[in-house]
Amino acid sequence: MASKYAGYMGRVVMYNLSNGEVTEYPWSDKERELFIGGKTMASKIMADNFTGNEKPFSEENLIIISTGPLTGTGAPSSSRFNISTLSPQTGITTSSNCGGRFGYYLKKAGIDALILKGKCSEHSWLEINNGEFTLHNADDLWGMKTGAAQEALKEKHKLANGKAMKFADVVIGPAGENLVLCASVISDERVSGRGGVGAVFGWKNLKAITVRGTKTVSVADQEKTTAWCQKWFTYLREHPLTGNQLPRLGTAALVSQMQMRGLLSTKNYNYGKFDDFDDVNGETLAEDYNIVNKGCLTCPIKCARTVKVEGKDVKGPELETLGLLGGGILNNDMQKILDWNYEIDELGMDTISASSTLAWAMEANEKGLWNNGLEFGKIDNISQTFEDIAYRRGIGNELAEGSKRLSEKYGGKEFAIHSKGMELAAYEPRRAVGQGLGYAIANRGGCHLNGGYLVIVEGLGLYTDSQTPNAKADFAMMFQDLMETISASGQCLFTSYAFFPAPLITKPNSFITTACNKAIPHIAWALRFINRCSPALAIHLPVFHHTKMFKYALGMPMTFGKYLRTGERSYNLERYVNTKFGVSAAMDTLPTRLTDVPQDPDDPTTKVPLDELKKRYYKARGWDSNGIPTAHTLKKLGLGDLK
Amino acid sequence: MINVKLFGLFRLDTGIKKLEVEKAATVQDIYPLLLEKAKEVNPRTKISAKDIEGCIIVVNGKQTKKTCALKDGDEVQLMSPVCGG
Repeated sequence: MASKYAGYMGRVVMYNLSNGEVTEYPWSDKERELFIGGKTMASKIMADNFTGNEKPFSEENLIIISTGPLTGTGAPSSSRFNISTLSPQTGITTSSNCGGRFGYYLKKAGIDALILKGKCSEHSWLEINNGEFTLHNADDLWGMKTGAAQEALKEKHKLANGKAMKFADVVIGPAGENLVLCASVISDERVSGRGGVGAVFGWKNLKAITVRGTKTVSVADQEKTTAWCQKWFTYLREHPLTGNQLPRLGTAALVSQMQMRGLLSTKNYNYGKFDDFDDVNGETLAEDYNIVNKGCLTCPIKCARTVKVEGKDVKGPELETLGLLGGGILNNDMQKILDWNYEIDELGMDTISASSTLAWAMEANEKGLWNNGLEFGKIDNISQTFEDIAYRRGIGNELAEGSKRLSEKYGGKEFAIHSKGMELAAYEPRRAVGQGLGYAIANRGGCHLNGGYLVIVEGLGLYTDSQTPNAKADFAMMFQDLMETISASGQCLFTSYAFFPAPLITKPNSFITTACNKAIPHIAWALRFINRCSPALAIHLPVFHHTKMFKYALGMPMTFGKYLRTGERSYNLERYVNTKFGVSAAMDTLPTRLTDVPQDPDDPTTKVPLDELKKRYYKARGWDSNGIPTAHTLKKLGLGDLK
Repeated sequence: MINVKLFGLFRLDTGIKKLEVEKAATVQDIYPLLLEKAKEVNPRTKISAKDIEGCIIVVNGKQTKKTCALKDGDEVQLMSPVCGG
């Protein structure tokens, strides 16, 4: 449906993999205003189509690949796309966000979002050319690792003169084909990793999607858009975080600071510090292994690392992988982490869940619960184990089910580090209790970002009291809401980090920073006021460039308050869909290692006071005591007519 | 002997991973030695006292201030602040 707003291509398409039927999915400007795009758009589509009885591995499950309206407009770091589906790992919705080129090319093909239903009758790959769909047999691709599959697709896109067409793709590897619950989807070297979206592709017999097109993305006011983008790019390049730290050290920069603050998951979250952290941190990666930093389309930050593996230049690890495959399993061999990171991507798995499950298995072996041959500090069998997981061979067949299911079988639930079935990232939350709240209540399971990423004020940026529950619920809500809209618009969450005033980061010992850190736990009332009355904030903040971009590029009115409210709507909508699948307070949990066992035996505060935090969070959100959004809250957000 | 270790961009900018200091009464007494070493490693370094002042200070695993008293065997970690991830 054509839109009065620029930035949108005007088509949301449902493609039935069972019979090749193409249906135009109705999507109005009213919905564009309320749900923007990306993961929020996907949540609305799921709310309209799911009853709560659907299973992840079923023809009724949908794969929704959605873009944001800012993709293709020239906005910084705006080439991301989202894949939402029912997760085989958690049984509820997952939204997995990915960088690279695919989202941009989908828009060039004239499509804002693609909804896949049904199941291919044979191994297949889907070709999209300027909005036309062709399903091909993929017997020749099936079994290939992700790199080889992408190379093979390039061959299939060669013109008669031998030149390659310009296209983008998403593919799965052996893990997706073999229904490994943490299987990922790969696009170039970028990964849609969390929640097992690759396994849903595999179940539907879908090896890959390629897309190409010649359409252009329109903007409402080209002159103002260009000028604003220039200003925004300059701002990001001059900010100490997005212009210096992330380009030079990547996310790996955080490992050392996590160590200093007891936040580095070590030996399957037994501890928060790893003695050999200096062998596997961002500095060592930059000094001894990093070749160059890379970025996605239109990204001035360029946080990705390029390293050498088997003589090839490949993508380096993020901090989560460094943490979980370093201290997490007591490994101090950086080159091994680089190798495993590459191998896991080639097999098509989520590094976080695969690594955390491995750490659980090591501890289960150590405790005599499961004799599996895996030991902390023993690294000679790790490569083989990851391969065995992807092909479901031997113990790999069991590890493919993840730590939740394994602990239900063998015991050891207290140290199965997951929430809702999804393993946590490398931030140890007993020294950052707001981060612990986030892991527990995050819509897609144990996600470090979807929960609000409070560790950024609890030790990785600002240094407020990391153990108090005060103000954490309100901060979580605000950060979640901001990140929801950033994500829905097609942008990278890293653009929000420049929201932090530079002096607060560069001068941690200054009087102002110290005062700010001390004040934060006492400003819950102010945050609550902003969260509750966000539409009244009809302003643009000078450090938050996102809102004016909506006006200039899309022609859509946007203010900071409206931006927050849009995110609030998004978060509640996704929660609402999950409640259809049984999510309630009883599922917002953490393993008892994190809630009942202090990290420091001499300091009883070093654990996550989850019950107290949840109570405050539900209240802040306007949910009932069981964690369900109330009718009043849904109505306030324009979601009163949900089925 | 006091062991000084550097982290973050400060380490990349100075080119110094670690430094052994024979004696220093407080953390801030290490700063001039560090500046000297940085100039030795790279005579054209732009590192200044201001950059060192901006570092997070950790002594024996605990975050502290530049006036923290030191004794033989202490480990001092200096890290330029990081954010996000």
